[in-house]
Order: sequence, then structure tokens, then C-alpha cells
Amino acid sequence: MTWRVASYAVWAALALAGAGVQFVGATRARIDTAGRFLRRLTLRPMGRVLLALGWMWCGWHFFAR
Amino acid sequence: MLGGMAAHGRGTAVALTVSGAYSFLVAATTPFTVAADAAVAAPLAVASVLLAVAWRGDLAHGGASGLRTGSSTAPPVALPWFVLVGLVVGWEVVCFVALPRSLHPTLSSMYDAVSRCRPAKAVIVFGWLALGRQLVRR
Repeated sequence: MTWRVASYAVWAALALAGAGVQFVGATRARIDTAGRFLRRLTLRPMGRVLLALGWMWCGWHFFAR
Repeated sequence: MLGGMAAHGRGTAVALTVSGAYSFLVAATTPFTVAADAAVAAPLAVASVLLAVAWRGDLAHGGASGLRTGSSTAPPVALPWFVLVGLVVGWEVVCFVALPRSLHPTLSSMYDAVSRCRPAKAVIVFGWLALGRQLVRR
């Protein structure tokens, strides 16, 4: 197995894990869904601002620069 | 009440249409150009204003409204998401410091490959705009 395949395999595993957590959260309600997790982080004004700054950086980094 | 729901539905449809059209506009720009800068700066400016308004509202009300689960049982846990975010950041760092990039793809390099397809880039921009809307709404 090359490093390239291994790297993509880890990324795929992480994506699957995210989908799995989302599925469990949506069906069992004992774990946050991504939406509830986001809302939890934005409960505090500072959390909302920090997340928004991260969102802004992502937009600039990926789409403008 | 039905009128209010209809108005809400219309508002959502308009928001989706505008966001979709804007996503294709952003996707049509090329990074490192004035057009791309302007297309991305516009939603950043709107978000900044809405955040400032939300910040003032939060301060006036002594903090944002709580997370309402509508249940008396134990609230759902967020630990899996923190672990997942930590793993993603960790693997991103590992790939970032390892070279060559073709063997150790980062999120940015994978995005660069995907964004050559304009519709795919538009979908990603749409997701970014939707996430921003979630962050600034009260």
C-alpha cells in the first residue's frame, strides 16, 4: 500500500466516522448531531465569533486565495 | 398562521435560490483575482454585520439562548464530535508537514482537485454559505 492510498484511506475513514456519528445522533439522540453540536458551540457569543472567524478564513483560503 | 408558514416557505425558497445563484457566481471566479476577492468578501461583510448585531443582542440578553432539547433526560453528548475534529486537525497537520503533497493530500489539495469542476465547487460554496447562515442566525 502506498502512502497515497493510505492517506486517502484515512481521510475516507474520517468522513465515514463523521457520517456515522451524525447517523447515530439523528437516530438515538444520545449524541449530538452536527447541527446540535454547532448550536452548542455558538451558545456563547465568543464561541460564535471564533467559529465565524474560522468560517471566514476558510472562505478566503479556499475560494479567494 | 398558515400565511406565516407560507411566507416562511417563500423566504426559504428565495434564500436557497439566491445562495445557489451566488454559489455558481463564486465558483465561476478564479482564485487570486479581484473578482474572486470581491465575490468572497461580500458574504464576509454581510456576516460581519449580522455577527455584530447578534453580539449586541447577546450582550443585551445576557448570553445567547440555550440549547433546548425539550427533554428532561440527560442532554446529548458532544464528545464524539470533539474527538472527530481533533482527529481531522491532527491528520491535516501530519499530511501538511509530510511531502510530497501528491502522497500526503491535505484538505486544501483535495479541494484544489475537486474545485476544477465548477459545479462541484459551486456545491462546496453553497455548503460554506449555508454554514455561515447557521453561524450568524440567532
